[in-house]
Amino acid sequence: MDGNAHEKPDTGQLKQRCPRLGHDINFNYCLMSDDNDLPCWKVFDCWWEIFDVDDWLKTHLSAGQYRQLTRKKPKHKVTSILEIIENAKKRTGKDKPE
Amino acid sequence: MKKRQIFLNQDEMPRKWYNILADIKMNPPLGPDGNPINPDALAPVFPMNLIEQEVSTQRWIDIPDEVLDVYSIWRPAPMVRAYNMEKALGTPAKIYFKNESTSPPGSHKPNTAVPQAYYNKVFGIEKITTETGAGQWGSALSFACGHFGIECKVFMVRISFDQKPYRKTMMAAWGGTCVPSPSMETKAGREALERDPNTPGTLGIAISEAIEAAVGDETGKTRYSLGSVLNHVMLHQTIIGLEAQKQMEKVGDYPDIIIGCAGGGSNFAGLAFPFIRDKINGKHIDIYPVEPAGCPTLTRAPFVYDHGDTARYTPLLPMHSLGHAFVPPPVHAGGLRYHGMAPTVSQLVDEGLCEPRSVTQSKAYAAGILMARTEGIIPAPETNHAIAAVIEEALKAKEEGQEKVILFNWSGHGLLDLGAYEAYLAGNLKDIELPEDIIAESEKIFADYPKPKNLKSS
Repeated sequence: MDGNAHEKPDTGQLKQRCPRLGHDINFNYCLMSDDNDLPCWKVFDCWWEIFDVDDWLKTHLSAGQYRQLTRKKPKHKVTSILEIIENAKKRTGKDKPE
Repeated sequence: MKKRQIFLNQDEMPRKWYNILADIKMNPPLGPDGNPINPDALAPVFPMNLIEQEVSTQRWIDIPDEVLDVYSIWRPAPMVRAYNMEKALGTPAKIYFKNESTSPPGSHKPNTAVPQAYYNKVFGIEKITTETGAGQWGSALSFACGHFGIECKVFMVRISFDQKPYRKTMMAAWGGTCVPSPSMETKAGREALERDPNTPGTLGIAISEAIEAAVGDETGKTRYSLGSVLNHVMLHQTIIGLEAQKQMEKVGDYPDIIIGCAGGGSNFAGLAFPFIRDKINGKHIDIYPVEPAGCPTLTRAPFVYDHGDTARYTPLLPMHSLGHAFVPPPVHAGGLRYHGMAPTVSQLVDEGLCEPRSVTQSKAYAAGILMARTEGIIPAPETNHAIAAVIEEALKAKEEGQEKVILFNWSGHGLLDLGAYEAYLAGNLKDIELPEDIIAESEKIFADYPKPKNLKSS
């Protein structure tokens, strides 16, 4: 990355457009927007042009969290829908035979 | 006066959608047991008539009169010759764009929202749920449901609900009900609020709420709707390219180059699929889906069967992927992990029928600004990626002294997304080139996985 990318940013001030939501968000939102208390899976994609987000995350996440984040893949939509249907059935009691 | 806009009369609107599944072969999604997923598994959230479209291989599918009637509010959409842009670039290329920003919600999204609402209505559904971020899809679906007398419930991520007041107002104006997510209406929402009453919400929670609201409705009259990725969504969007073919014929041109931005793939597919059929049948056309350089799914990743998750309990799907277990090299982590592309678009890339490209954020916004200053419309941020590739091709044509015909999809306007331009205009975006040397490593991950067939459609 270039010199700009190595600057240590004030993450509270960093803002840019989230391609998933479609509007500006603060970097801090990206850190909690996964449903498993991990940063969003697109956090590298969105911020790599702005600062050295990889270095920042390595510094601020535990080794386990960092490993989990970098190894995690976003789910294919159909796969994801099927999984959410199953979870919804469990929550609403529709997974039990009638 | 130059003939800038090429119109079709209302009675020239296409009467059928083009189904690319008739002309290409697809590897099926696989379940954890290695067998293809049964489409019926989607029945709790989609009406059967849409599931039938999802798996149909019939080439032409009739557009119902009721859908055409709503389409006619803004369709046929104009195709525009970008004379000012051509002049600004000094290119001999002819640049045309299909202007999808003219729909009431301002994007291509209602092309599928309208038929989805219609087919739900025909199936006896009375209420549709969905999730939305900033509200582009929620607006389109609210607009569509309003025309068929269906209730529309949109779970909008709380942070977006607070930041985008005009989008929820748009939904309300069309009769949709927009609630901030997490909400107290679903168990998923209540659990999220119990964990953190001040949570700004996430798309994951909003999707869970929308699907739970459909699955949990005891009357069976509620279904869920999705505006991207799925085959039937791509099908509905093909009206864009089918209209463009007729408009090209009217001006006696035919595109040498087709360009569309590719996030989930639907606006690219909408313009490109009918031309891909021409290409399969012998036409010489260069077709480019363009994606942000930060997530070069198609540009760089191999075509493999991959799990959606690290735990590997989700089905194996054919996709361009760097692998569920791929660890990005330290400084190059950005941009190498996204694989949310429509499977049909992935398949076409694998067959060499289209060639993915990527552009950086700053290049995309520079292109969008130039287009706004020449052609007048402020593009949606996603559209900017396509425009950047158009400029590259137009300048290449200039260098080569060739009068190429370039057609791209202007997928939406950016008037409700102006914040996106602020960072660029403030000089906060810088270009960084991605390295070229790490993709081969990722292929080792798939050594023990089943390989999708490299199917050829003709």
